[in-house]
Amino acid sequence: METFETHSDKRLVERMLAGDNAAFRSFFATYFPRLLRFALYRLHGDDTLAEDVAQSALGKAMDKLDTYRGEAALYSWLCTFCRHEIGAALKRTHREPVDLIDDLPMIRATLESLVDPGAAPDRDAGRSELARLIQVTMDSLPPVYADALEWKYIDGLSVAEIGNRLGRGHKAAESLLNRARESFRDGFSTLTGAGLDLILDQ
Amino acid sequence: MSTENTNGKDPLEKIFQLAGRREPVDPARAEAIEKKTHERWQQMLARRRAEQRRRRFAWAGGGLAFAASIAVAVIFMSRVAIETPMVATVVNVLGTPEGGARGHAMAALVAGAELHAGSVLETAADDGVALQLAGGHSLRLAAASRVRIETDAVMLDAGAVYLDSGGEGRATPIEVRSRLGSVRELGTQYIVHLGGNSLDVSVREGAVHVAQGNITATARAGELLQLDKTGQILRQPIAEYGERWAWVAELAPVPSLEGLTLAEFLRWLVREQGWQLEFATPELARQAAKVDLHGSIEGLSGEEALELVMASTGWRYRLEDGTLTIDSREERRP
Repeated sequence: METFETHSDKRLVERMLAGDNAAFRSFFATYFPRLLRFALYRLHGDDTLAEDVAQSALGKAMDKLDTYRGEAALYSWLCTFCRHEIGAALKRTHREPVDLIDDLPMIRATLESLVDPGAAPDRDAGRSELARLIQVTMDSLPPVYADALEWKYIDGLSVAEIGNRLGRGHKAAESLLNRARESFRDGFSTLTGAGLDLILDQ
Repeated sequence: MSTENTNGKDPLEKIFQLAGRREPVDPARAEAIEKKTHERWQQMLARRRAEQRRRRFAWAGGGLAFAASIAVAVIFMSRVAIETPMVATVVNVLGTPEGGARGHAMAALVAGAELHAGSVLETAADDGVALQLAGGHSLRLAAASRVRIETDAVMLDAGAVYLDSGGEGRATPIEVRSRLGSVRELGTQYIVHLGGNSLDVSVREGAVHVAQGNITATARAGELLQLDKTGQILRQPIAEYGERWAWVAELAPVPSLEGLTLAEFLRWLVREQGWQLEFATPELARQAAKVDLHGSIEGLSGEEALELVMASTGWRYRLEDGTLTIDSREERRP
């Protein structure tokens, strides 16, 4: 099913296929950092290897760009190339794959440690893993949602300031932030199999 | 959905502050990867354009007919091989040009086919064919044309041919003969077009001698000479590049980039396009001779090939009024 996001992804790809350089720049600025982080998490934090993999994945995606039909989000489509390159890189370097989705027990432990900060000995490690999963969730969101959430909660921008950055009015920016929050919650739950309620209740 | 808890604070703030900002990307390394990705994007676009262009020259008969025509061409070649000397090899075809030895049926020409003295070639409205003559010339036959190839001459019955000797003294002299006169050259690039009432000779490089009975004239580079059937001669200046020469460039055999230097590629390109090549400094010319190229420009137009190659080398260029100027290495984007 075509969603608003896949529609705009498809439009971006159509512009790239028509040779629009601005579209290419927008594509690269949006997706390269996300793909790099996607690879980095799965390559044991080896940033050189992750760059090679991201570059290779993007190159192959460019070769096949005219096969993108907009049925999936562009980021998901790019991740299929990246996964393939990651698999090859792990094989080449004789490393074990990193299983990110089966971390549910750790997530639960992390959540419990956050509920009772003094109770868990692995609290720092757990927090670090939770932070990574939050960032993974952010990378899975439509770019504008992730940016808006960072501006709001890390940079401390007001709704009006976010609206200015996006070229939207106050009400539209607020509505976008609400959608971003919901998408984040859904994304996090999908990724981890756990909700944010334990944290949000603190 | 409420975004605030009972303390009036947005609860998401806590977890985002725990997670921190997503890891930023090193701009210098991102730039290098962006450049490589940009090249791949450009290559993909060039392939698409080439594919679209190829589709314009659809094979007339489909796969089976095409396979059959190759077989016929091979039979045709082997039969005449024992009778007459080989005079040319087909190096490029567009559409379905046909060829046949004297007294034999015509068959579709394919790249690699060898032609023998007396062979007749014909092209239809969307066709073209490029030959490498045994004497060293590159010969290209325009659409809607017909020629017969002999050992020392090309008999032009209709349409137009282009000849390129590769430079002075590099090829055995050859003459183009037609019902309205003959054209003889040494070290040149030119088109001979046989119209209903005149023989038109466009010269890109060097000079050619045109003759009709006792009437002779010389046409030089940048000149169109028209010789009508009464022997009257008209001259006019022409550009050595552009639309007049477009079909010639489209038929040009494309070299492999592997093993070519940037300087060699540029020399080939400007000769095929009729451009002049200039380097902003002698040092740039020296550097160009040391840059090795890789990849393929198969199916690309001259300007597309230029764009692709220059993008991969990071050199800047400009093309104005038929002059290709190589400026400098590309500046890094801020």
